[in-house]
Amino acid sequence: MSDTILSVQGLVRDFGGFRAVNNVDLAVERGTIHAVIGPNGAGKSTLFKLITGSLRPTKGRIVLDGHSVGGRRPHVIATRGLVQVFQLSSICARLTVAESVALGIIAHRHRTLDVFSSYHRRALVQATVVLEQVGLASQATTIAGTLSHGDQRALEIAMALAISPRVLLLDEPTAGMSPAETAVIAQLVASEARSRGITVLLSEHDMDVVFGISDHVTVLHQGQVIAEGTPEAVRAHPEVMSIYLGRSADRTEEIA
Amino acid sequence: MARTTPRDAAVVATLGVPAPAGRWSRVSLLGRAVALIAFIAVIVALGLTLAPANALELQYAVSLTLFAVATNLILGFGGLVSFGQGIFYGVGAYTVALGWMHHSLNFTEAMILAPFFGAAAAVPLGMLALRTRRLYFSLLTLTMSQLAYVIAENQTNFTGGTNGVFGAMVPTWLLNLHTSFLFTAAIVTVSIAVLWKIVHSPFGLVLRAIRDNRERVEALGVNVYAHELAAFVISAFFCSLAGSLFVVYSQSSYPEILNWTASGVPVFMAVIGGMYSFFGPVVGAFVYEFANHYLIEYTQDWQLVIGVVLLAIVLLRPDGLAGSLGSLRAWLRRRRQRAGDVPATAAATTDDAGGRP
Repeated sequence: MSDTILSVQGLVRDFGGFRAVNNVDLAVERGTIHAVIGPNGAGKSTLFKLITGSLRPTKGRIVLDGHSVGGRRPHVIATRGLVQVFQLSSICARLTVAESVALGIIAHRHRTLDVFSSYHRRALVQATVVLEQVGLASQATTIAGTLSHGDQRALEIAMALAISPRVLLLDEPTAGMSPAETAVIAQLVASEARSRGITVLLSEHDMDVVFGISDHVTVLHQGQVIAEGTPEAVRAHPEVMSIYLGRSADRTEEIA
Repeated sequence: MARTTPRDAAVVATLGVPAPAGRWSRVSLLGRAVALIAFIAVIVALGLTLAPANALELQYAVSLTLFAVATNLILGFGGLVSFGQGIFYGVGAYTVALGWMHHSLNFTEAMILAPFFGAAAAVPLGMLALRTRRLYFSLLTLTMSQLAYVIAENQTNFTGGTNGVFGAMVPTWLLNLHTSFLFTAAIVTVSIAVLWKIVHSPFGLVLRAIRDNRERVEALGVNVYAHELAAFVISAFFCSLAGSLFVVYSQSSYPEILNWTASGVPVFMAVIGGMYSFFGPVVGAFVYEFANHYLIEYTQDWQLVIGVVLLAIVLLRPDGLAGSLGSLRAWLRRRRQRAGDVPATAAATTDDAGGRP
């Protein structure tokens, strides 16, 4: 029997006359890695913004672990256990790496209004544990803004893991990264999610990343779901091959 | 994402970034504590030995350090440029002055209530102003401050209007110059210590994170608006306390202390001293107030001089005096490192410049 932790039903979002997300249904099973793929402009980022609450849906329902969360404020949705990692690196540039992760721990424990306690010291100690898991322990006292791009992505993931999310949302986690960095991050996401039993919903345009680590793939094109299933099934889907794989084949030729 | 430069690293170095306890941080913590106690001792010694006019000026400067540090809680640590903190300074001063004038509060009661009145006023004003961001926030707080000025000026029957309130509102035991100085210094020291603890708390870390990237903090499940409001109210509490100390210094309260130029003063002080450093505004307050006091003897256009200095700081050294000190330390450390005195790994961290256990 299926155990859906996040479901999206008939989701629509219009921008003026333009329908960016058109009647999308999505069901994410607990403990799986679920990928949303599609070419640029397919509506992936809009869909994710609707799920995280940064945008309000025009129509449709979003249910997170039995609670309807469509249109709620982002911090409310985050406290329900859905945590996102941004498409562009979005760190607090002047904090140290350890402070950034401690921030997540403080937020998760609802100690953010502690004005006189020293809870942040305990959080800093706990942060080093998380940093070891993502391979950033040696950078604990480095200023986050001075990290390399790849390390900033790893830090983002560490910050998200620090809040023990039930669902981790990754919007193009490997955007702007070298193939080597991409492999490291993909591996990191997969291993951390599986060992902690975290459900992952990620969007990507790099299909190789997705097919390596996902259990389930949804293909979005012009705001609509055109295919879904296991990576193998999606790869063999004729419509996907024509609009998506065809495109990426063109791109490969261009580069070559 | 904000672009970062090596200078940012120097800024954070002076910020007092929590770092793992170790040999380096412990040494520097001791050094900083000794430097701080020495600084307070020098100020108190000066206050008790200087000629009355200069000692009184020093007392005023000491009270302004609290105004500057309290304003910097939201400016440097919260990223909110408020031109309205003069409102709360004025609420503090007028609480004591009007309590005396209307025979409704004695001095002690007024001193105790003043910061709470300031905090209470900050709740609705903050709720409104924090709905806006950046420049709009600055403009809205500036407008509120002008509004407070007009109210203080026009409600002649209640506030004494343009002339303000003058009189024997300070108890006789506080009229002694030394007692008055020590009273001010004690309140300011305790208040700044409390503000230091607030900056170095989980809340302080969240506040700095909001300053850097509010969307990120919101995504971690934090209600950013509520935290900004809390910081605004805490800042107002201590601004009001500083305002009540103005009455101890001047035995008066008048509308000019709450107009927008008065609100700009603590912002200038923080910028001069370094708003990303906790103690920067203290240095800025002394520099500004003494420049203000002594420049006026040489030129009528002292505000022009201060304006040029501010412009130079904003353009050349946006991190103020404390930031420059941090850069100097980083440079010295690099030199030592090249000479091979310091292990590279220890020097690469920020803890010896801003170590906290």
